[in-house]
Amino acid sequence: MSENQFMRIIVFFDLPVTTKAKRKAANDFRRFLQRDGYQMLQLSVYTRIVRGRDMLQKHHKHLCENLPREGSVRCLEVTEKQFAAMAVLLGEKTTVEKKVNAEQLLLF
Amino acid sequence: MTWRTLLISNGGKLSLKNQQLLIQQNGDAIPVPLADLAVIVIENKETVLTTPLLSALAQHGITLLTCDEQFLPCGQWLPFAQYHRPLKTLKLQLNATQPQKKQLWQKIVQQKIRNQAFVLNEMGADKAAETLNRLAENVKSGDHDNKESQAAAVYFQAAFGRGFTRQQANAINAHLNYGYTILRSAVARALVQYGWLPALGLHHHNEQNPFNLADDFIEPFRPIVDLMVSEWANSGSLKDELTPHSKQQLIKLLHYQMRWQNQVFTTLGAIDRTIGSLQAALNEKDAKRLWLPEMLVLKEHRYE
Repeated sequence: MSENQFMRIIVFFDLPVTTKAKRKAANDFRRFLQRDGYQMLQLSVYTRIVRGRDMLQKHHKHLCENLPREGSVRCLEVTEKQFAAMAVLLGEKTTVEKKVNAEQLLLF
Repeated sequence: MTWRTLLISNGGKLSLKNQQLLIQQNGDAIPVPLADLAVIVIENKETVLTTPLLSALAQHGITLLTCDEQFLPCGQWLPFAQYHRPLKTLKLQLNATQPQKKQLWQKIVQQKIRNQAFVLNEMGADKAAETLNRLAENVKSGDHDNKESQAAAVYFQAAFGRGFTRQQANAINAHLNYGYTILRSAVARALVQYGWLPALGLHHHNEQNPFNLADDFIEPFRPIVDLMVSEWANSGSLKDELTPHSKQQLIKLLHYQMRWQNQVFTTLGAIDRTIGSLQAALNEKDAKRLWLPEMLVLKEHRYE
C-alpha cells in the first residue's frame, strides 16, 4: 500500500437550542459540517470520507476549530471497510449515501 | 490531493450550496464536496449550471468538460490565475534554455516509448517490445532523429494490427481519442494548478495550440489508454462506437494504477506529481529531477 487509504470521520453531536443564540450556534455548526463536505447520516450524525492520514488530520483540525461553545460533540474515525460494514437494522440508507459513496468515478 | 471524477449523463441542475456541488435530478438534491473533485464531464444536453458554481470550480481547481452533439468533449473550463506565485513559474518557463527543454523532452519521449513497450509486452508482442526498448535507449537530446515516430510506427501496427494508422476513422481511434481527451484535460488542469502556461511547450510549439505543454506531458500517459483499448480489441469486446459504458471505463482510467518514483498512485496522482516535479527540474536546471509515470497492469487503484 503506497498511498493512503479511505477512512471515515463520524461526528455525533447534541447541541442546546433553548435560546435564539444557541439555535444559531447549532445551525452554524451544522452549516460548517456541510461546507467541510460531510453528509448527514441521521439527525446529528454526520460523516465525511477522507483519503489518508493527512486529509484526516486536516479535517479533524477543521472540526476542532469550528466547535460550538456548549453541547456535546464526539468524533469517531474508522476505515472505509469498517464503515461499509455498518449494519442498517431499520430504515434504509439515504440517497446521498448511495450516490456519493467511496467510488472514485461518480455517475449522475 | 483530489481523487474524484464526476460524469453527468442524466441532466438536471448543478449549483453551489454550502460550498458543495448540489446535483438536482429527478426530485433528489445530492451534495458532492468540491474539495474532493478533480474532473467533471457533462455529456448531457439538458444540464443547467449556475455562475457561482463555475467560480467555485475555478477556486477549487476543478476542470469541467462539456460535450458536443456526438457526446465528445469540445470545451474545457480551467481555473485562471489561481496559482500563488505565478511570476515564479512564468520566469522559469520563459527562461528555460533550448538545451534544458531538449533534455526534458528526451526524458519524456524515452518514458513514453518504454511505456509503449510495456503495453506490447502485456499483449505478448515481445519482439516489437524489444525493438521499442532499444529505441528508448537511443533517444537523443531533443529527440532530434525522431525516435518517437519510429517507435510509434512499430507500436501501433503491433498493438492494433497491420495497416492500422491513427488517422483512420474507426472504432479503435474513436476510443483512443476519447481516452486521450480525458487525459489531456487532467494534464491541463494540473498545469494551471501549478502555475504553468499551457500554451508554452517544451517541444510542441504550434502557434494555434493553447495546450502545447499539455501535449508534451500527456505523452508518457497515453499508453494506459492504448492498453485498455487494445485489450478490448483483442477480446472482441470493442463496440463499433463509443458507448456509455466504454466512456465510463475510459474516464475511470484516471483512477487506475501507475508507478511514479517507485510508488503506486492513481493516474490522476501521477499526473499531479509529474507536473509538480517540473518546477524542480527547471529550477535546478537538471532534467533528472523530472519524474515520469511508469506503466503497471490495468487495475483500478483502490485506497484500502
